[in-house]
Amino acid sequence: MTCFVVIGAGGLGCPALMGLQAGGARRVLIVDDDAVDLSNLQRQVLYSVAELGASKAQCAAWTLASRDREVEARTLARRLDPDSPTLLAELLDAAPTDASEELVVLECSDNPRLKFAVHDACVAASVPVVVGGVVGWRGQAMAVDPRRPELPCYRCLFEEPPPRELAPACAAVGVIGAAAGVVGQWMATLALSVASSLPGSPPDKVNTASGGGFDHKLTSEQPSLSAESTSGRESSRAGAGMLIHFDLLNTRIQRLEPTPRKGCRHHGELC
Amino acid sequence: MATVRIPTPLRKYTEGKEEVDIAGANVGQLLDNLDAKHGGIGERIRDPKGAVRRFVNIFVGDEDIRFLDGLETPVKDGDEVSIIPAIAGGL
Repeated sequence: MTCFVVIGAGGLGCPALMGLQAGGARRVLIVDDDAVDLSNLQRQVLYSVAELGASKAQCAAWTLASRDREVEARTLARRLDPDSPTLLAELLDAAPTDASEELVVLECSDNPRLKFAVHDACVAASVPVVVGGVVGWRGQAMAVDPRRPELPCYRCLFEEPPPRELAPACAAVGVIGAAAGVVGQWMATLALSVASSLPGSPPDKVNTASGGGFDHKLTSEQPSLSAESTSGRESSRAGAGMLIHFDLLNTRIQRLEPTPRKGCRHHGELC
Repeated sequence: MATVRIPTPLRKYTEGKEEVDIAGANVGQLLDNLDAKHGGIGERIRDPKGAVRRFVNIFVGDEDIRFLDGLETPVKDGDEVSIIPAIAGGL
C-alpha cells in the first residue's frame, strides 16, 4: 500500500487530497500547522465556515474520513523547516511504518525553499515526489521518481529556488481558486501515476465513478498518463520527469520534457 | 522575428502583452533586444553577469536552451521562445 504524504493543506493540498481520495488512495499523511481562515475558503475546498480557527490538517482528515470510511488520514501539525537536515525523517516518523508501505510525497506548500528542500530530501532517500506551484492563473507540476535516474529531477530544470522578491507569493498577487484546483488535482494524478509504478504496490484501488466503490485495481487497462501519450518518448515515464506548465487564463498548457542536466546536484555524475 | 512568450509576473514590462515579437539571431541577442524594447525585463531574466537566472528556463520551441547552445542558440523567424520561471505558490 502507498502512503501519500501531502505537505501543505491549502490551495493545492485540498484539491490534491480530493484527487487522491477519488483515485483510491487509502493512506494519507497531511502536514500543515495552519488554522482555517475565512480567506481560505474560496479555494481550500475541504473546509467550511464552521471550521474557522480549527487545524487545517485535522479538518482535512475529518472531511476525507466523512467521505470514505476506509481512508486512513493521519495528521502532522508542524511547520517544516527547509534548513532541517532531518526534514524527511520528521515525515517518516509520522507516517505509518508498515514495512511493505511505499511513500509518495506531494509538495503543496507556498514556500519556494521548502519545495526544493523537500524535493532534495526525497531524491536523496529515493522517495517519489510531486512538486507543484500556482500563482494567479498559472501553475506547474512535476513528478520526480528518483528510482529512475534516467529521468530528470526538479533541480535539472530549476537549479535553485527563486528569491522572494522575484517570486511573488499568492498572498501578494492573488491566485485563482479554480487554477489551484486544476494544479492540485493534476498533482494527485501524477502521484497516483507514479504510485502505480511502484514495485509490488498499489495499485491501490481506483474509485470508479460508475461503481461508486473501490473495487477496481489500477491496471494497464486503466487510463494513465503513459497510455494517453502519443509519442514513444514519454510512454515509459509514468508521469515522471516532465513539467506541465499551465496558463489557464489563455488555456495554454505546455509539457516540458527535459533530460537530466549535467551539473545537477542529483544527476551531475550521471551525465 | 521570433515570438517571445512572456510569463505573467513579467507582463508589467510588456504592457500586459503575453507575447511580443522580437528580432535576434540567437537567444542572447533576442533577450538584449527584448530588454531594449521593454526596459527592465532583462534583469529579471538574466543576472548581472548576463547568465540566465537559475530559477528561469528558456525554451526555443520545446527545447531547453541549456541542452542546445545556451544563449548562443540560434533563433529563426517564426520560432516561439518561452520564458518559464519556477512557480512556488500554493497558499
